[in-house]
Amino acid sequence: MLELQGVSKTFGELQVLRGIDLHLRQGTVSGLIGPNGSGKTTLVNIITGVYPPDSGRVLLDGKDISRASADQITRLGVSRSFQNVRIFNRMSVLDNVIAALIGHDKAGLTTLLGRAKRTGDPKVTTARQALKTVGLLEQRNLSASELPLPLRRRLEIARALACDPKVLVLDEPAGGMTPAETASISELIRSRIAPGRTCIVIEHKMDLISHVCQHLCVLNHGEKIAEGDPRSVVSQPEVIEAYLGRV
Amino acid sequence: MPNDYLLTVISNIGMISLIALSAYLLLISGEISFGQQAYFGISAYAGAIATTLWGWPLWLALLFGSSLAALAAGFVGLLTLRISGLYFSIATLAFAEMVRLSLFKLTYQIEIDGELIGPNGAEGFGEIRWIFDNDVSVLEYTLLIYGILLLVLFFLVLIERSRLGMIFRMLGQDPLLTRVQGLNPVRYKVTAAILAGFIAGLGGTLYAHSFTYIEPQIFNMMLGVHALAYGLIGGLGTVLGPLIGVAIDIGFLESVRVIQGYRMVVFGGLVALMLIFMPRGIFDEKRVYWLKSIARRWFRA
Repeated sequence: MLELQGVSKTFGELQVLRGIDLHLRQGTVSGLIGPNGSGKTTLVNIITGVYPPDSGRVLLDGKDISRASADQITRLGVSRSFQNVRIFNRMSVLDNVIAALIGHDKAGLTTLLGRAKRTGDPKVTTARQALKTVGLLEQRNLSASELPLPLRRRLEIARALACDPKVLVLDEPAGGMTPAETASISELIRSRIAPGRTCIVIEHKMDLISHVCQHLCVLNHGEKIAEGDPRSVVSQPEVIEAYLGRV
Repeated sequence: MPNDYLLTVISNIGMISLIALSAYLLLISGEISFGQQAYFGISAYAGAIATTLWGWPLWLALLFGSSLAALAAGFVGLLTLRISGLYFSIATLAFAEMVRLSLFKLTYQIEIDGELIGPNGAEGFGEIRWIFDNDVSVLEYTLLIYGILLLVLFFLVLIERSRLGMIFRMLGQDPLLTRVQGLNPVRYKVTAAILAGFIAGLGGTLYAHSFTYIEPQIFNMMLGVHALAYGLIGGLGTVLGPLIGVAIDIGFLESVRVIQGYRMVVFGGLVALMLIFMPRGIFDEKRVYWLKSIARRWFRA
């Protein structure tokens, strides 16, 4: 499905990622954890084409997408949410999701000049379905800027989900949430988003990770230090040391 | 019958609305252009040359001038792909100044009825006589301007409701987010620039034939600043926003005698106040959305 082979990235003097290998199995949820500055978001940005890797390859279904642009990678079936929520604030909740579906249209002139929201448009139905999945259908006509943070994060998930991606990347889906909100989004991901879908979840909150992930990878200082079953990974001394320091 | 002065003010509102709409199209796509006057000027000169020196009909001159403006806008759009924000604004201003200064050097005159006619550098380009040669009254020409303005408005309303319009607004809010929705921002940035150039061009050719005399100084930075300010005053939530801005400036400020002579002071102050208290204008996206939902509820009831 998605494979990373020896991916490295440097910004100026700082080497952010060193030879990362990662293999995501189809239909599983993989967690990506690591202390702040370990390179998690950079890795996601490389997977989604925001940055190209300096060396190494990213393969999607065996095809090398390392040099593809972010828009091309999205159209190939990789959707994402952001660590710092990014939504179209001056659009309605429903339009935010429709916006994602427009990106997957063929860019012909007639398509471009066609109405964004025709009555009976399958896009509207798909967008409503995605909003229903994340529990935002009632708020569909609100301006996206009016949503509180937990619902904004849900909107990001709905937007990514609407395109029925091959790979769904969730960057800190519970970032900034209270324990109750975290539990709620964790359950949403486990019961409604993840089943049958290949996902990568980046998160600091271990209760969410252990609740939704079947596979876990740990980064520290840009290197992969552990990988495998979440329970066994979190008990490894290197992982404990990376998070808590030498004890 | 309205008098000629009133008609001139009304037709001026119409023509300036076109350049305001062109700046608006770029504003909703997230780019602040200080250079739309360049396309207005290119088309004014090209259109006037086409009718006056080459004897083309006005409709063809309009198409020619506006297409040339659109081409130039597309070229600048391509050159400025990698820059945005303040850098883009400065680049557009630099291009516009380059065009204006080039017009000072442009001399292309042909002898017509024993008289040299055509652009002559700083002396400008007079005798753009299409309106007189074709016996077009001020009223008829004003109606022509408003016919074209209505067509442009209709086109822009269609664009606003289309996928393309939605993409422009997405780009205007977050280019990276737009990109990760599977859209190539470069393509749509250039499309917006070309469309905006064409619309400014329509205004330019109409302007040259309305005033029958043009000179490089007309297409200076203040025209571009005004074009931008109209959208920012009227609002970026609807295509009618820039027209409201034009009506406030030319229609209201110019016609109220009390503030005549202080118009630019009042206008500048108004822009400053708007930017502080209503940064996206009177009819911004939020207010337009609110008005639309009220209208929907009212129609349902």
